[in-house]
Amino acid sequence: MKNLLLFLMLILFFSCSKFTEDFQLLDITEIETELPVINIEVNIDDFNKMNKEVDEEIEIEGRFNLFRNGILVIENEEVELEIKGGFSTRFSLKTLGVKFEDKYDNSDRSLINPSKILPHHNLDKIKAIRLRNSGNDFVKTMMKDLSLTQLAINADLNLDLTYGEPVLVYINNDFHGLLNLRTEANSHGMAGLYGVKKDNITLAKITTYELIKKDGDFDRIDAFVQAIEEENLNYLKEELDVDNFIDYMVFQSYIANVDWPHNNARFYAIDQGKFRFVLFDLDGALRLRVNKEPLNIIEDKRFPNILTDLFFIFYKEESFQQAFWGRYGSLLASGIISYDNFKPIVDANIAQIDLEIQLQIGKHQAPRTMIEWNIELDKLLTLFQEREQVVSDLVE
Amino acid sequence: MKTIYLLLFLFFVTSGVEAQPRRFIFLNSGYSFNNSLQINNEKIKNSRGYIITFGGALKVFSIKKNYLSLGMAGKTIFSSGSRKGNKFNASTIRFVFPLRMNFPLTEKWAISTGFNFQNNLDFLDPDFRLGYRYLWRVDYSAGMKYLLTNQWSLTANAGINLRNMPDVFFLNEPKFAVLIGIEKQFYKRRKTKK
Repeated sequence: MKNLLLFLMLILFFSCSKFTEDFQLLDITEIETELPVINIEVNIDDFNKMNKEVDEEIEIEGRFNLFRNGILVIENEEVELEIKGGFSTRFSLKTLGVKFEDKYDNSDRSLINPSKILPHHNLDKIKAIRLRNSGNDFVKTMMKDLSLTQLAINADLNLDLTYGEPVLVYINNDFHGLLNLRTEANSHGMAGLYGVKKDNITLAKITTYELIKKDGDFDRIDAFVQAIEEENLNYLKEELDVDNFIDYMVFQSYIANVDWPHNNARFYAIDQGKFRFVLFDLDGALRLRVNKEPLNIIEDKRFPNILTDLFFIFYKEESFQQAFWGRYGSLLASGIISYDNFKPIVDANIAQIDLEIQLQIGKHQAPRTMIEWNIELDKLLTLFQEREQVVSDLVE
Repeated sequence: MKTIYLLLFLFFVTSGVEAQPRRFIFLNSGYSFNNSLQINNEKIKNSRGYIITFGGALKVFSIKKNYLSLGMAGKTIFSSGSRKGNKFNASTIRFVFPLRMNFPLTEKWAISTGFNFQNNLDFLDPDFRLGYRYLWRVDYSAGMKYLLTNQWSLTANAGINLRNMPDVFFLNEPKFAVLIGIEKQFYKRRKTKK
């Protein structure tokens, strides 16, 4: 009986599933893609070293070319490349940070061309972009973050975020992978969105283990953090853009992002303006806690963090509670963040890459098969639908 | 749904003790199927699977001739189907806790009813967390047993999933199952006086 128990415990450990299919994957030569195609010319030895030694933060030089509808629209722009990301750097296809030598003039939308730009944003000058492997969603849908961000854009929320579109990336004319071209969520990105210089930006990021002061006036960041620790609400009201904060907290808790608020959070200010939060990296949304109350998502008992603290300092005030739940109520009632609006976004993204994802499967086995990609897409939509129902019931 | 589980359980629990097996090992195999399934807006055709389960169980308590057993088993499911004309196969290993009430009817025949609790996600899945809503699958199972010899029985069972879950979770293991198998029973050894 003991042996049987041991055998079963081994089964528990190896409990898994594996899919195979008779799907004939298309080859790169068989696809006439409508996606933008990027070719970066690099010293391949340097590129391989950078890809291999991801913790060394190696930067290499390259030349950036971009084709739209087969037409070369960006030619030989000098760029610096660097591997970006945390856990997702372990995947075979890594996120590439691309920094232009000079700000790229995107007024003709040759570099990035989103279907909609929020009225308070500007994409005319871009210093840096990210060719994103979709983070922890890499082996799953390749579009979760992109689709949820698009939902926020379509809803005209008072947010700062990253714009993007899928692209095919080549390195020295060899197919490298399907990635998402995104604007940055760092100081370069925020400076670009508001048409200011990077030197005007003060920015800090909240990660699981620490608060990192990235750019600008560090004394101001320290004072802001100290005010959170001392629960100095009057000071915080002076320093924080509360309307942005409410939209940010509503959206993140609505999508049940479990890789947040202890992580993937950034706040920034332009000159002496108020601090605003940046929406980015939503791969942890709609995964585990879709049945939890929004406040439970924000509370995040696993990892104490200043964003949770900041929220509950404001939440003690009845006027803030009313504003927070009022915003939830009005967004839900309007239907702009509903499943009916989310599904067309996902369907459009599927239509964009349902041929190209085959190249990704062929080269990176991520996802491993077409049926597994469809399973993950189905889960994304199903979980969104459930989440909407859960939150609607709670808010009512 | 929880109330239904409880009522079903209480319904089958009546109350004495006779010579009963203390431990079991079992092996069964069978066919499983879905009646309708849709993944990402497309119907899945011919969704079915073949199941092999091997495990053991212990008698937890008994009431008259009837007894409750709790077990652990490993299950392999070889499922298949087709989406948009593209055929796929999946091989899946799952960990099962069978909880069942057994009702001996005669010396040879017994019926049983109960639930199988099993993990619904791969343990290496990044989404695997104890808090995951669809971590567990619960199947209702009913069956009968025919005693072949003093220790060996033939078994037949039918199962149906009870949880309301998204269709994607039934690709690896379909909702309905019919199984046949064998079971070996171990009785408590008695000291005999010479």
